[in-house]
Amino acid sequence: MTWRHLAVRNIRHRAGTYTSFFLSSTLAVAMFFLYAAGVDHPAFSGNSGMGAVRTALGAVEVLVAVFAILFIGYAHGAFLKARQRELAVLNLIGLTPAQLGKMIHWENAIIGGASLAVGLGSGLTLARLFFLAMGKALDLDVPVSFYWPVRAMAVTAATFTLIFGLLSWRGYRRLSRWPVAELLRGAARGNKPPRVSAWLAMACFLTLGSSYVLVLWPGPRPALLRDMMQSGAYTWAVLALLAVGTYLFFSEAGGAVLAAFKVRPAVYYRGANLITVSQLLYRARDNVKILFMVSLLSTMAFTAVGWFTRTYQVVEKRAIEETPVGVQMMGMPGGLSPERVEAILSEHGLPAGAHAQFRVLRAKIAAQANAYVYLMPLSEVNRWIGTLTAAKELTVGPGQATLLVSPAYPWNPMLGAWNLDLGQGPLAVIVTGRVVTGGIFARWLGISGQVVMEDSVFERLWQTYGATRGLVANGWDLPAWRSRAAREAAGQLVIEGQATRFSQGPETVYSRPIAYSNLKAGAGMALVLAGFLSVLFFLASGSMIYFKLYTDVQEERSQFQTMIKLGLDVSEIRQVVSVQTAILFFTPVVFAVVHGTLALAAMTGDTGRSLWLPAGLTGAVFAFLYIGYFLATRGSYVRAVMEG
Amino acid sequence: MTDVLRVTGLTKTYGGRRGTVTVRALDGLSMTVEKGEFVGIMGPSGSGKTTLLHLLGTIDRPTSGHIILEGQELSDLKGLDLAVFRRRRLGFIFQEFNLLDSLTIKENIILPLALEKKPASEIESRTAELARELGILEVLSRYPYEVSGGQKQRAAAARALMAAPALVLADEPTGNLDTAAARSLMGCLEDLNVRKEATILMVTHDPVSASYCRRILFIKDGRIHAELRRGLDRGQFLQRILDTIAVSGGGCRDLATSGR
Repeated sequence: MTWRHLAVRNIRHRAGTYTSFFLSSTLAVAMFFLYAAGVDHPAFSGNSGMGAVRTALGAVEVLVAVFAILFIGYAHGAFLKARQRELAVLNLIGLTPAQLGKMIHWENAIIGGASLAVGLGSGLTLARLFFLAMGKALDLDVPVSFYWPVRAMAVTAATFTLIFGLLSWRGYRRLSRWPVAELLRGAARGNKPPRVSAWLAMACFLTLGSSYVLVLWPGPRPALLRDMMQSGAYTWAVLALLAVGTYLFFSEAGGAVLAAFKVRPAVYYRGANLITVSQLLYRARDNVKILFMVSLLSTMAFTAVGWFTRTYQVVEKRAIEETPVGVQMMGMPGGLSPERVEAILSEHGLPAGAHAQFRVLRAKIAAQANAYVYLMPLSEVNRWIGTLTAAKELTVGPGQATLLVSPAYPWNPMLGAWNLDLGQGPLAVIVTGRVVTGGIFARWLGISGQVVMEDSVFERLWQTYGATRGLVANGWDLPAWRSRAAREAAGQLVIEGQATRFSQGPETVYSRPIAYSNLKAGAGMALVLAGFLSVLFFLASGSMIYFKLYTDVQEERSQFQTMIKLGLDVSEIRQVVSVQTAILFFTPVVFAVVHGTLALAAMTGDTGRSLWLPAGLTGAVFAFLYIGYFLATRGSYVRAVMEG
Repeated sequence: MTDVLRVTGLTKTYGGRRGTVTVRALDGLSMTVEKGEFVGIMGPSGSGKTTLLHLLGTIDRPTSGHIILEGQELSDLKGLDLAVFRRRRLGFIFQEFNLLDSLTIKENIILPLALEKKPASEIESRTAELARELGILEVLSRYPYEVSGGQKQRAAAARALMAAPALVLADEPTGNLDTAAARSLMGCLEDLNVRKEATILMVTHDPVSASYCRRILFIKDGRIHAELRRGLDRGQFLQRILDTIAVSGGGCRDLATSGR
């Protein structure tokens, strides 16, 4: 008999214990792989608007790996604990540490290899089904197709080979270090309830408190905070504080509440409370670990869905911000004519909406290559705003020039003298103010700024430079901008506009239907991914609780049998089990909703009502799914206890 | 003296389904236990001692016959009633102690009264009284894995007596204890029997432990086979027990070898 044989026999003999470890490992593999495959999907990498999101997703991949390590490590620990006695006997009959090591390594290799294979296989199948379903559900123009996620497979295989190797090594070390007597005593070894420390309680209060203060800062934020927000350090700081605070909260506040029970005999000595509270205390260390991990996962899932729901929710608003006017075009010599634009629109059955235009002087910024500024006359711009948009008209005082900034792309350039070049020597324009307005086109590509000036000043410049640098901007209202016809018309406008535009000049046509459809596709993809992630995280956290309870049942069956002999009724046992299970399931949901909302506020810099819908909706869906998971888990737990 | 327990014609058979061999563990056994008695049950392996204890403890149901505890027919009880009856009228002491790992010694002891939702003050005073009686006051705040086997079993005894049950059932209580701990436990049980008038029914293999009882019933092949009553001297009683075991002959070897 070789060590491989012994390992195989062990696995066959104690199928239950091994199955539990195998399933948790498989779950972790599948989850990591699905995540990696989702992030790598070409539909996401191909979308330019997703750059920032992709960076965040990469960071989350690391988190998922850390989580997988914690999870498998936990399952492996429980697995070893359940087998201590058996391993001690092997030790007693004279297995050398090296032989014991060999056996453990073979076992880990077999289980690890199997769960890697099964995890990847089921992951691939699930991914395929998932992309199909989501593509259909969202009615995307580009279907979310299946692909062979080679990188994801390689990364998963490498990560988990490493994890299983480390676990094997840790298991061997632990077993070879513990005295045999200790191993023989097995699971009955003491599990002292943790002590609550005043220092850690204070740290908990400080971390949680400061993260709340950071997000819910009343009034204008100080400069340091604004700097942090710009660099992204702010979001990370809030998240890190929340994570640390949550862990401390579970260990300290949880311990304190249970300890408070203990010193109140009137409550503590009442019925099944005694068993419930003391079991929670007895398993406090494990409980804190699980609560923390599940809270972290739930919060990530909650935040992801909340964030992308919010993004999807504001797509229309964002499209209007980016393109305040339905179709806008810069008329230039040899370019697309306004008549042609109107002809294309009516060809697609779109009624000709209101039309407006203003003159523009295109000036180069002297010190920079390829940076241009549009100079525009006040009265014509106001006529455009009044005709085509719902924005307020602008006012520019005598001798003033105002920079227009779109709410979609807020920026804050230096005011004062701008040195411009209109082709006949340098010209200084003093920009005296900055106004955020949604009234003018959000951007023309290649344009650094739009400056509105008094009519008389503009007229003087136009006389000199109009012939060489003058252009005319045309805009049309397009009430049916969400329609398919509008999208097709806009597509044709872009194609014809590109065919006629300057070689190095600005884009000639910019339209809301195109902007809208791009934003929607991006946000839709992101929502697919977020839904995918949260389903994944949800399954993982539910399963984690399930596996923890399953492991506990093995240990506790005899305890419950004793309770039954002492006269505990089934309903009382159900009560004991219910409270423990409910705490594990629902505390994390509360944390996910509170902290997820806080994280959303931190990410969006918004603490107002706009968060209520995504937060409330996501929270409700989560709670609903968790209730189902809770009932199923509790049912099977009680059944398992009563079985013996 | 009033009967606490009255057993008549108690029979229990195992198996018998689809061609398996039927085993008759108890065969029309009858007995009574009076209030305040300390009764020992002895007999070779497979004689039906454990089955009897399980039936008395409502952990198993008889095939036929009656068990009446304080006027209550046990087979009439089901579900919640059974659980409540068990914790009010019966106390258990097991060979493996069966203390709950997650509870301290004190919490283990108070569990039966806590389940009854008795006032905390009553629970506290009763715990203190029993713990003093059994000499485990100083280990009350420890967990089961932190105390010795003898202390565990004395805690289990305290737990069994906590609700002042009609009958305490002890299943080989000294089976997992060394000689000194076994003697100390039996001394305690004897004390509780005398001073608190606890009615105790104990199954044991060990003649020394049995010699602390007032009366001993010997079971063989599922029936009462002999009965001994103790006089004043425990040493003499022990000798009579050993004699009875020797006379019982074949199948009792395991009794003789375990004598201390």
